[in-house]
Amino acid sequence: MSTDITSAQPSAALADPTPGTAPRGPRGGRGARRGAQGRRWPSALSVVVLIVLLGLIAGPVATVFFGAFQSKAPGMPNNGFSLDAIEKVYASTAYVKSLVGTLLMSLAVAALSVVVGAVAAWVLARTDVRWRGLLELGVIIPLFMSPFVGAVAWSMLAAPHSGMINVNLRWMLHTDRTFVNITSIPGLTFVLLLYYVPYAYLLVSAALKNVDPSLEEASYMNGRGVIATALKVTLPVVRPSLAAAFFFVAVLATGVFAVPQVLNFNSFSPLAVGVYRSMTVFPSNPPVGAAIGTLMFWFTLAGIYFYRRSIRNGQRYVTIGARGTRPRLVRLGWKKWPVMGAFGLYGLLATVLPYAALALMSLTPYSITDFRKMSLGLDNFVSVATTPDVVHSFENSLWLGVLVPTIAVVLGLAVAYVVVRERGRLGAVVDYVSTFPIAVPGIVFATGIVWLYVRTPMYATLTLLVIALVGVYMPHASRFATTGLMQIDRSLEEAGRMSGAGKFRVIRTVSFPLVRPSLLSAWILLFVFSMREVNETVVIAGPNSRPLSVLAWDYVQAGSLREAAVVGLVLTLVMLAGVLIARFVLRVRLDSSNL
Amino acid sequence: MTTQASPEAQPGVAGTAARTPSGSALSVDDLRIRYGDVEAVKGISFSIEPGGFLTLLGPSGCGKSTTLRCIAGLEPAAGGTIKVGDQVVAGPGRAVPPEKRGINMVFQSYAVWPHMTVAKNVGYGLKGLPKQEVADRVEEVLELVGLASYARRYGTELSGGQQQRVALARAIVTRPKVLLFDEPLSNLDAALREQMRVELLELQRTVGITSVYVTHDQTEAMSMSDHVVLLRDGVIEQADGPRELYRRPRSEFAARFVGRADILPGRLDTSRRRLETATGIAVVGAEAAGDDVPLDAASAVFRSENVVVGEAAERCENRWDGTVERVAFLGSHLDVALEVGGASVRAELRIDSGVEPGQRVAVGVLAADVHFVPAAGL
Repeated sequence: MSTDITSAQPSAALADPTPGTAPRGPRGGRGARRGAQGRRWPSALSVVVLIVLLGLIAGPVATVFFGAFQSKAPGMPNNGFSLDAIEKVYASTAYVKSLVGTLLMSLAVAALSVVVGAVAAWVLARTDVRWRGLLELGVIIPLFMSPFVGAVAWSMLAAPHSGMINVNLRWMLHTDRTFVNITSIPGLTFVLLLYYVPYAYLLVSAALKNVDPSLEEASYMNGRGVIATALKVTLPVVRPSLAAAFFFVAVLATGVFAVPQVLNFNSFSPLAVGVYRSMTVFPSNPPVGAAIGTLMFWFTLAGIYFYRRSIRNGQRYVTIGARGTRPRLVRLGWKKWPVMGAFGLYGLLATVLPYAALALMSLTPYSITDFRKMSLGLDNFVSVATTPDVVHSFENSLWLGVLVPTIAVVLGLAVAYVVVRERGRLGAVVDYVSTFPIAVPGIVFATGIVWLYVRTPMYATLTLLVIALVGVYMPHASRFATTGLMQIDRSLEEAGRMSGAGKFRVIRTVSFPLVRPSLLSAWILLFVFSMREVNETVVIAGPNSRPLSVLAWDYVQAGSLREAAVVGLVLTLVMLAGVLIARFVLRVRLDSSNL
Repeated sequence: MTTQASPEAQPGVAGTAARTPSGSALSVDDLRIRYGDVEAVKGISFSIEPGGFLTLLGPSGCGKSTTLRCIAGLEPAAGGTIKVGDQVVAGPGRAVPPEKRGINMVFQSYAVWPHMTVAKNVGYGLKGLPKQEVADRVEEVLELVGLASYARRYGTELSGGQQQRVALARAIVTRPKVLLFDEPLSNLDAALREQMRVELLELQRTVGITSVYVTHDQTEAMSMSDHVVLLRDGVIEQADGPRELYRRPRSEFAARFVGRADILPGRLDTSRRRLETATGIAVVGAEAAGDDVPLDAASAVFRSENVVVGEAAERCENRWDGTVERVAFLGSHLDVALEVGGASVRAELRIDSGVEPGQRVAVGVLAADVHFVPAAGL
């Protein structure tokens, strides 16, 4: 760093010779350089961060919008400006059903997830239910698993014709009824619900922990019982976080296409599936895919707007109590058994059953779901798991799992530093751009990435996957780093500056070690996310850069469920190993307090 | 719940830590509270007469807030009995939930619900009453705390002092049998704290609600309550009226915690009125030491403001030669450290008393201002 930057740093603000000017206003951009009239200039760090973010995030999104106005995929010969795709998507009725269906579906999934997640959070935070740690683990664990693999498992379990539940109940009960049908609207809702409950749980649970316990105690003191207090005080106070969870899940559910595609869902065609099919299924029409992508984008953008607004409203209500009193725990009495039963049921449906089905499937030599005809053996599993395809994909997955979280976390820390510590106008822009990817459905983002890089040597390489996933997971990394950094008293860093250390030395020697716990949590979460990712990777990966998740996807598309089960299981085992190492070797806490 | 709590009752002297005198508004008997293996409150007993104002005083971690929360029903008791009026609200095999105890509480953090207006906050506890009556009572109470014009504001739009009043209004509007205060003034700045202290006391006297007040601030305890229970490590150190507590603390801890005390350890002679320190300084008291004071491990206690120097010392039964060590100017008085026969004595002197460091002076204390307590065992 050049000397003029260091000399214009906080020391200048503190040694401000003008009397009467407050050296630090409430929005004072510390670490921001002052010009002649006291105007603050953005720091070099914030400029660099913004440029990187624009390249990673804004570039691909802009490309999608560009592509929607083309006659063919960008990068193809004989390509020109055309309004055909836009007309087809926006000005005809062809996609109305998809649009309405997608929206209703995501809103329903979001509402149900919030209800289930909020009830679970309340029970774990406010009642004397037993085995709290275990129950919480049961709720969070699906976050560390792949919804895509879960969908594969559920289609083995509950497909109308060949699903294990249907096939085996038929011969046991001597009927030919179909008991469960996972390809239906309730089926899809159910599978999505299983995997989105943890998000809602974490958001609500964090809010519940921030509520000053005396707000509830005051209600008890005024003669209201448990239920009245929960509904009249607790619920309104955490309402912003319920809204935040609702919009967050709704946005995620809008963008998911792997789950409906795997479940063979055909009641209507979700928009995300429409994008995928337009891009990859013959006769492909990439501009239409891009146009559908832009259509989804408006809705997810609205969702993110409301999400951010709810988060802001939530902060208004946060009133940290004067002392660390624990909230009064409601005695459940006999009711704790049904309550624990409900948690158990969730664990069974989200975790135990799917993985039991996967394990069973990967141990059989053929795709057979009838228990009477299965011949189980570990060599069936081993023979698939050791094929060159799987071994190669395994390698690719590991590279992704190491590189993506590492780069994203470093970048996230830089973003957080700019947003939390430097603030200013550029900080606000950085903040907004860094949360932007949540609003962009994965498949849409991936399309943009492919088109942006199609003419470069990076096309279809692992490098491109890393670039794409770093962009996609930036928001998570920066959110962790931001919360971590906000909890550190700024004077700890200022003391470093006063002792003569430059900005980067302070970040390296003070800020980083103190936020390390948050960053480790972020790292492990992103490790899991990048390992299991299919929404983007399936479009971007080339034949040599396929990670395990895409390989499993390809098996599902080819109809080889058994191979898909093996790969899904391998993937899950790798993620599990990563999480266990993080938990017990690196001592990362994986619970609602820091996820 | 139809009349205010016994306005005709004498707000005043409650029984000493005696067991459950009949007719008390609140009585706590041998209360024990446990956190895991740690016993935070180790068997304390006290009671308040209707309309009385009792303060639980003590340093942080002494168990005072825990005791209060246990009376409220927000913490479970591990043993002992709590009675509100004649009703046992906590006892062996019995724990009335907090909402059914007829108690209300003013919280340290005010706990004003941010999603409700002031009027809604205050009217919250009046469920089941006709709308008009709720509105009337809310208005009446808001008038009382001087917030009538703020009824439609939201809790988060108020200043700390105003939130404090909302919390107070909300707590008295239900006409509770006992009102609990959990360090309600500790989040206010000094000037506001003093003003609120006066207002709060006036209000309590007007409404006549039996009150239990928790604080670590001896000024609050002294000026507000008619009975102070001094707690230390989960046991009662002393329970007395504020004046008695100040003038006749029964232990070195009580003497040090309330006001500033000079403490000279030594041996009592058999008259139990004369103590001699290890360095041969004699201290006489007007009254003989109590039976609980061991002869060979006693301490003489007197207040810094009762120490005089120079000519004034001539009239005192206790006269020593001393040296001025340090003089600090505190505006209203001088804080002077004196060396008396190897022991250190602090004195509060008039600012015109003209003492200088190094000066040798006569130091005096009246026998009436001296009393004896057991020496703190080490």
